[in-house]
Amino acid sequence: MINNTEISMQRQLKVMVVDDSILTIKKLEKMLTELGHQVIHTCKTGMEAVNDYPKYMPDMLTMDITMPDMNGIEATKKIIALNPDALIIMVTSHGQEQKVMDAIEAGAMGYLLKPIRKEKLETTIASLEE
Amino acid sequence: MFSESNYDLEHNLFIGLFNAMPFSVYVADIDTYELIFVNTKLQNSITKSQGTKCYQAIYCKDSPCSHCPISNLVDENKRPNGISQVSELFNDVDDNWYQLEDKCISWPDGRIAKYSISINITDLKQTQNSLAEAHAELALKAKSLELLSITDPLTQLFNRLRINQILDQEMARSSRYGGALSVIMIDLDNFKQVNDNYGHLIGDEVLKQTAQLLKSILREHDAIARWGGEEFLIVCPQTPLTQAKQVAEKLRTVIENAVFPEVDKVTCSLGVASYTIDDTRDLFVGRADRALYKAKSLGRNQVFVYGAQTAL
Repeated sequence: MINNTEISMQRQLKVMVVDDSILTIKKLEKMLTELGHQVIHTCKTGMEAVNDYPKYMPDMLTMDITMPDMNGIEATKKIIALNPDALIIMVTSHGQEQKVMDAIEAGAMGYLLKPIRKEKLETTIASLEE
Repeated sequence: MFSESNYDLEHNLFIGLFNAMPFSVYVADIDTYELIFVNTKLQNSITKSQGTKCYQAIYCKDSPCSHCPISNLVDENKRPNGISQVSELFNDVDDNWYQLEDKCISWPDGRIAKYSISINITDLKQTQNSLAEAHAELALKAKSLELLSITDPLTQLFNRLRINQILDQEMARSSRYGGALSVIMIDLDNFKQVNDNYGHLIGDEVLKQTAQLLKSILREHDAIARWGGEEFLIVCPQTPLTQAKQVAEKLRTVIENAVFPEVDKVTCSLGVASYTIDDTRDLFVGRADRALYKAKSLGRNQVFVYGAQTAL
């Protein structure tokens, strides 16, 4: 019998990175690529992410919280409304309990705080696939 | 030295003080964002030197930072208001966390400037952040456990526990605000034979496919659960009996026309009932159940409605 877990762990994910900082986008792109995934699109605002999501239908999104025009929690809600199975990881500098709860309530499946560490990113992505 | 002007004296004092600090300090013009001064400690770690703008040199941005505190630190005439603001900031240029103290002052040359003293608090923040991440993991686990506790593992529909909660809520809503409420009870016909002839694994596949089919054509506000073995219950809020009958008929047709791999054809019988004030949950669902058995006894693959005149 084929081991499904092993296959899904190694699956290359098509990822959309949403962050208003070009530096963070670059760091995430580099780490995700090193982890064997492919960044297919990047967005600098929540609104852009909501508009672009249906065009790219990524396997996973990383989502900043503080962004111009629409924050990451609102964007998460809207994307989950479009696709309840969308996999969204918050990557943010906000560690307050309320923000964490809001993000998870909105449908985020992971919550990482900056600075981003490749190992943490890897563990979080692996937990999504469970 | 004795001829040193007040300007020089004041200027040298500031610079001497800021350079003596074991923290990074910079001073920027609040109108132009031009860096007026960077202390020795900070000079070693920034990419560009004085003369460029603070958001470029310190934060590698091409426009003023969204977190810029200047507007909080001056009065309406753009004079220093005496406020000293303390905040925490993640700088993604060097991946470090800082505690910042910002304040506006009159620089000796007459310009209004903001000084920022930053203390690297990365180690402290990492401990805090690990806690926040653990908190998030716990919240996610709690959410998935909650989902697990209300989900039927085979069909991924709601389980009986959850549909009973929904029923109670909808009955209360209907009693309080009026509005029709109906339920549809569905049972697959001769399902025992499917299990006997094809085995339980195929039987499970039929249940899963049935669940998907039923769910896919229900309206957004309807709720569906696996009630028991091959029985499903659908709660239809704001739905009078006649409309619920139409929904049931649609469900029956979809199942009748679907092709189930290996088993080919499956049919179902359906009982429909509407809520009346003072119903208990058992009375209400009981009527749908009796209507369902009437549908069975009338030859299966049909809908029977428990109406006002029905006595079963």
